[in-house]
Amino acid sequence: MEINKRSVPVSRRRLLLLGTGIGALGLAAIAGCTDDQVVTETKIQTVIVEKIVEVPAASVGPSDEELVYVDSRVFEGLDPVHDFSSYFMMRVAVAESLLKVTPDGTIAPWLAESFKALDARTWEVKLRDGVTFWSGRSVDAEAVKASMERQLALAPQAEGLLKGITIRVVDALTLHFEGEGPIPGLPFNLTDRWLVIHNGDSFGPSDNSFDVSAMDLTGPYRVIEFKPKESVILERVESYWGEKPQFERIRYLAIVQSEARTLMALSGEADIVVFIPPTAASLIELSDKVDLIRTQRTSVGSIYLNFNREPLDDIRVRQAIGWSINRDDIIEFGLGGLGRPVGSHLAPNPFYPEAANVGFTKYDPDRAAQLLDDAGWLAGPDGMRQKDGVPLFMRNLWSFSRKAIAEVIQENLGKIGFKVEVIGSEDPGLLQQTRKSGDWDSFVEAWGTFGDPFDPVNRHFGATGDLNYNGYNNPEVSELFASFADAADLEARRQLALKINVLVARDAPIAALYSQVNLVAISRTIEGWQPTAETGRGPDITASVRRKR
Amino acid sequence: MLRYSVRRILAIVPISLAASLLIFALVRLAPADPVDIMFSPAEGVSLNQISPEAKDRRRAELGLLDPAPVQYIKWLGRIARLDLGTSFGTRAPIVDDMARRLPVTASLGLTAFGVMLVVAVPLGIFGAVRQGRASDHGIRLVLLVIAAMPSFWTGLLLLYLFGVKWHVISIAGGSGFKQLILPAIVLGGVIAPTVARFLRASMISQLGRLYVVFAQAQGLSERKVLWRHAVRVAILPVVTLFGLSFAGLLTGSVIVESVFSIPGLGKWVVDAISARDYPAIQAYMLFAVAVVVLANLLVDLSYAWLDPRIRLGESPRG
Repeated sequence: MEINKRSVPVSRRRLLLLGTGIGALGLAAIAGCTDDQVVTETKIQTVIVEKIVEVPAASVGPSDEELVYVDSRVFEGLDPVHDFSSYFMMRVAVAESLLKVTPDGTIAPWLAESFKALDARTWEVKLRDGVTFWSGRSVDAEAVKASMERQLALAPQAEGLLKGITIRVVDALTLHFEGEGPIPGLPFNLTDRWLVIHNGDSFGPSDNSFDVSAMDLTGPYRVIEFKPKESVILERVESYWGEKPQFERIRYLAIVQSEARTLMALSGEADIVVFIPPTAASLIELSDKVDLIRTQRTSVGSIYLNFNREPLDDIRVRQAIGWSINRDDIIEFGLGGLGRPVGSHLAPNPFYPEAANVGFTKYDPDRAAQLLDDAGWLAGPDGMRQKDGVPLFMRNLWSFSRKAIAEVIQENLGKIGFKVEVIGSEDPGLLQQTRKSGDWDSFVEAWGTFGDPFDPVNRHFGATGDLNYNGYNNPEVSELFASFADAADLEARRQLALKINVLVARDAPIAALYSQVNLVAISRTIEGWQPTAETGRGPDITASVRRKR
Repeated sequence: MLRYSVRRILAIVPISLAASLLIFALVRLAPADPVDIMFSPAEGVSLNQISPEAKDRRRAELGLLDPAPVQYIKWLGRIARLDLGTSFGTRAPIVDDMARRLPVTASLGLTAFGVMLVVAVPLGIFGAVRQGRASDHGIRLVLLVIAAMPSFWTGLLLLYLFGVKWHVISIAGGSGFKQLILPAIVLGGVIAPTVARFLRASMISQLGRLYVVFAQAQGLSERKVLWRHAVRVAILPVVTLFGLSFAGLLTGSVIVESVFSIPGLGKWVVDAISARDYPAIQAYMLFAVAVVVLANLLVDLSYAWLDPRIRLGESPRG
């Protein structure tokens, strides 16, 4: 009896029942996840998207009728005012703006037929005749004005683009953009993804992101299936005003994991895969199915230095950091060889060729060491520098995939006796929070330099710049910023930006380091694809993209 | 049994309230402001300058300017009405988002549970029976290797072999049965070694007991001794682990769903965490708490059902 008390066996019937229960659950799972699931999901989508068209389930590999485009994200709402939707809509040829940036970097008419400056404060934009929204409504001057006004009212990213500018309808196909001051850089803004032209009456007065029947834009593809954060199926618009693309359908997929995106390219399942990580470049180059396209952007990666704190409050220390970083090491070890070294903020942008010779144009550790000696930071017996018993030290933050870059900086500065601690996280939250608190020494971040010459310098070094994190304020620079108000032509503005670039390179609130290359994997069955010069300022998929016969 | 069940069910209320407070606080302890993240969401996505006023307008729209206790009470009020709120990102009702993804995650979890049973139960029993022999050492080594392989790495390896090399599955993901097999193997493989080792230890502890020796002395075959006596007793503590494992499979598929691009709750919450989508994260964590609490409840009830001494307040060990 002792034995039974200590260990009572489970009755066979109950064990059988338990097993049967688990088995039934398993069978239910298997039954519930057969391929019918795709249809079920499509049905569920009808709740979100009203006029849904049932699309055949994805087979492995693209077809002649369908192009498979893989990105890290897809648009999250069907209304172009919804957060980043218009950015993604423009790339996959759903939305279009008045002007676009061509692959060679110039600004060209898109929905506009022509654009010209009437004087320093006025631009005239003539619209193409015969262009219609998908609904058939004419894309006339009133519709364009209404579209822009809706975007400015509802999309925070758009509100700065036409600040102080009045839009005036001259006739059915002519608009005037009239500035309070000179607006020579307006065409840059009219290429912006947050000024895509849509039928505001159809979308309504507020963000209308889940009603596909309200979607009325001008691109050659329209949405027929939408799974937020997952995928979008696009169908060719037969009544498109321009040259019709070859593909009847685009399957636009979001694959967040960069490794999985790389495998997608290698498998031949996708035609175009964007944001390939540098670490995967060599793997893709070995493939006989895909080509790797490198696109040089105008963005600049820099180390931002907090000059409100010791030891970075000393200009000599900041300059020493600029000279002591070997940018070739950053390209090789931090970016997998996919980038180019730059020495000043505007250097990556071909619009400012003079900037290539400004700033930290070479690796010069001797000069850096001399600057630190002059600043009183002297090397001890162990090679590490100190002043009055305080070691020369800073903490460098990294985020996204920039850990390797931060480590290269740590190693480079260590060579001149500057101790650097590296901390960070792939998630940008830690950096944002730390930066907001003001408790930071340095970090690495990359930003674009495209746009009216005022914008890329003002955002970083102007009094109102949102990226001027530690309040850089040099009276000489402020005077140059004030001169923008009277700079009536683009060349005058370009010269002002170049002058600011020189002063900033001297003061070193940041030290420009690199310009990264974007990697796109293109299936060898595809021809005619051209990278856009600026992501989100022109379509990624055009009529020239075709499947090879 | 009824009194015991009611007592266990009532215990869920204070647990859920404490969990909701913890969830609400933890989500807000994560660094960075949701609106800051919203306007600079990912590397490679360019953005324009946003005014502080525009950011504040968005914060007001999302209810983030209310004091934290007010936000918490409003959230509890919504939950009481079975309204989980609206996603900061998609602005869609979270209930819809979750309802669309739950069947996918449940299918994956159940398939993974099946994989775990198929792997862990035979290996655990076989290892115990062959204790100390070469085959036992071999099984333990294999289990150790499986346990040591990170699911992220295993997932990518399987994707490469089955998606790139052999073209058996689509790397684009999906929720069809064929698409769920590999992730289920990876997910099931995460917990199978633990369950197998636990079962092996439980079996070994039973195989040395007097009732087993007595059964053997009665002349019963090895098979009968094993299945009629030892397994039936040894399985009891493992039932607890089954319950917790199943809860873990439902709530722990985050990495696997991301790697295999499965449109389930795990992938959804990863996106929500990156975006600091508070309502979505809170809803998911609440779901996770509910699953764990329910799994525990079911384990407790099944335990009491399988071993009547438990509901009488006795220790199963006597």
